[in-house]
Amino acid sequence: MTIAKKHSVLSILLILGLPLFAVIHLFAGQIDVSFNDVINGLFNYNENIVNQLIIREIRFPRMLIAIIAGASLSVAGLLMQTLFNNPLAGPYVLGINSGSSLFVALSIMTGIPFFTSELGLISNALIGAFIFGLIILFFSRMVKTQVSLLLVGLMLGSFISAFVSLLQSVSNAQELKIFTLWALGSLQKVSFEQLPIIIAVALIGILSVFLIVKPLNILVLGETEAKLLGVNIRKTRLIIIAITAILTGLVTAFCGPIAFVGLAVPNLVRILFKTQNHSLLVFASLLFGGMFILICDIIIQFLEPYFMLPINVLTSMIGAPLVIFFILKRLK
Amino acid sequence: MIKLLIFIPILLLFSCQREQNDSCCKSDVNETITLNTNYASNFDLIKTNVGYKLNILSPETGDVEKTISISPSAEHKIISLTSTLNGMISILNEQHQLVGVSNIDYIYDTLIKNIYVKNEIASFGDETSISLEKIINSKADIIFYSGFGEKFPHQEKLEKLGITIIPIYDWRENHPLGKAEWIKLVGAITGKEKEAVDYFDKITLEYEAFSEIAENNRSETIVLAGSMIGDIWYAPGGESYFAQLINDAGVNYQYKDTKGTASLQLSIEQILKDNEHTSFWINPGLSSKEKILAINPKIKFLDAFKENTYCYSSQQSKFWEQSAAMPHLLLKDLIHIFHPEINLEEELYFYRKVN
Repeated sequence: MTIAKKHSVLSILLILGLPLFAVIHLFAGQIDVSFNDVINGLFNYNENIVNQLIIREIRFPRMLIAIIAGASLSVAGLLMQTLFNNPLAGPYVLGINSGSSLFVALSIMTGIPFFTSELGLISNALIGAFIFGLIILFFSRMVKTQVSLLLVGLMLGSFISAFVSLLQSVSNAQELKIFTLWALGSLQKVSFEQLPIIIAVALIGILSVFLIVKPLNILVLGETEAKLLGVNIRKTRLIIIAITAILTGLVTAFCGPIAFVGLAVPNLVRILFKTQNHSLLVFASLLFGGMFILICDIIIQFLEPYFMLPINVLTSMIGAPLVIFFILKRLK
Repeated sequence: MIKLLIFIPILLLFSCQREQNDSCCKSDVNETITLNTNYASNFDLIKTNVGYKLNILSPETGDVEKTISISPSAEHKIISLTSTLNGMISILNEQHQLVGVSNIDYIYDTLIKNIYVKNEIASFGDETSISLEKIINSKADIIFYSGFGEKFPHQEKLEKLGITIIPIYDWRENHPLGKAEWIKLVGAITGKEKEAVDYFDKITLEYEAFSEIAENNRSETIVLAGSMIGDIWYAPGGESYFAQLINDAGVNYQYKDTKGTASLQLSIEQILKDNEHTSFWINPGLSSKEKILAINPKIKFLDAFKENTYCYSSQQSKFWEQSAAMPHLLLKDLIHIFHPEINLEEELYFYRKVN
């Protein structure tokens, strides 16, 4: 099979797979719903009928946020890996996610009025992601190489983690519980009314990536070569970090931290597609990422009668062995 | 260094002199009278010629988990890491025997707070991270802690130092009066056995009287209890003390047919589906609708949330400290809420409506 044909087959599988798992996701769960419940819940909604309410207010937002979270984190991970020319990079390494965690921790565990105001957890997570995105942007103008910026991001993340741990150690049981639960991640917090804004922000972030596909393809050759080929490294770096902050901040704000997807999915996509063409990599990461979290959440719903598994736990449990498997396969 | 040199010989002295026995006074024991525990199933109290023999029973198997010889005294120094036992100590007016609590911020009793201000009571924090030296420094001879089937931290060392450690399983009792009956244990230790027994007999009569009123007015009303933490709704098990309390209030607990005393873990989908016809939701964990919705916006789809949500959350310390020892008032509150047709005249004691 030629490479082009293989790409076509994989792309078709992803294009068909995503809606297939989305439909399966809608019918998963402890409460049995009919096809009519789904159609009526979405297009002829009557909130007095519980099954319709479950579809519209619980399962549909949960399904959609699963796709958006998976797609956003995967693309953010891909951007980081290309920027740093390092397969171990991900949206978490720059401290952006840690920034969200810090602001959420402050909002839960301190009595400081600014943090405990009406803004709530979602706003605090978003503000944290953007503030630390800006800090990274500031550093990105000061340091000359990607490796230095990667190190700054890692150190920033460690520093914030230590501060969050300090807050946890002095918080009371109830505060600690709320923060711990937030840190486990959840796809169930999003309401139907919040979907338009989430979709809009995600689309802005994702569509922006397609505008920088060309410099991304050249960045793979290395910073020096990219400069020689006319890529404005500093500007590209700023755009990549800004998009990553938007996508990661959005997901962290509405779902809490979801680890590993941003690291695992782009690597798996690269291994499957064996290409450096970012048009294809971005497209495949979007679909694969969405599908990955959908499958994880279907498993969670299947297990719900027995025990509740946090999304953040399952993504890591599935993602890590998958990456190891593919790496070993590639080494052979 | 000097402190260490003093401390090590003291430790060695204790470890040589004391056997590994859970007793705060050792002597020959002749069993005489077994005190009746009519409702509590997780402890036995046997009166001896020198004090009491206390058997802590495993909530799982009913077997004796720990036997402790205790001498009744008004001079014990107690660290009580459970709110419910603090409440019982307060009812028996033995607060002066306390030298430590878990967290003074969660204490409701004014006298305990005043003693704390005088530095005669210390906050010890969560038991999992409790300081061994702080315990020794408090000169405590008894520690009450919520047993979770695990040993107390540093248990062997503390027992070698003569400190009696008592796991408290009141929270595993499946009857409200079973929880309250643990006051007899507190009474036996603090030298107030008679007062404790009298108090328990009095509240038992009141509880049974209220229960009878509710039974005569039993309705088909369905009640949901518990709250959502993260993605999980924790509801009392069908054989828990709270399920019993709701039943004694003359209404139906939604999950009354489930087995066990442990909390049920349910998804929001299950809660919405099961509670289409539920009239009341109690113990939402927060005191205002705004706070509840901020934590979980999907609660708004629960019909009972709109009109009939009642909480104790605005007075959490009061509830946790007093409700175990005052199940008659708890039951009275619930009857007041579920049966507005019964004119109980008085205000709610623990609960209030969530607005």
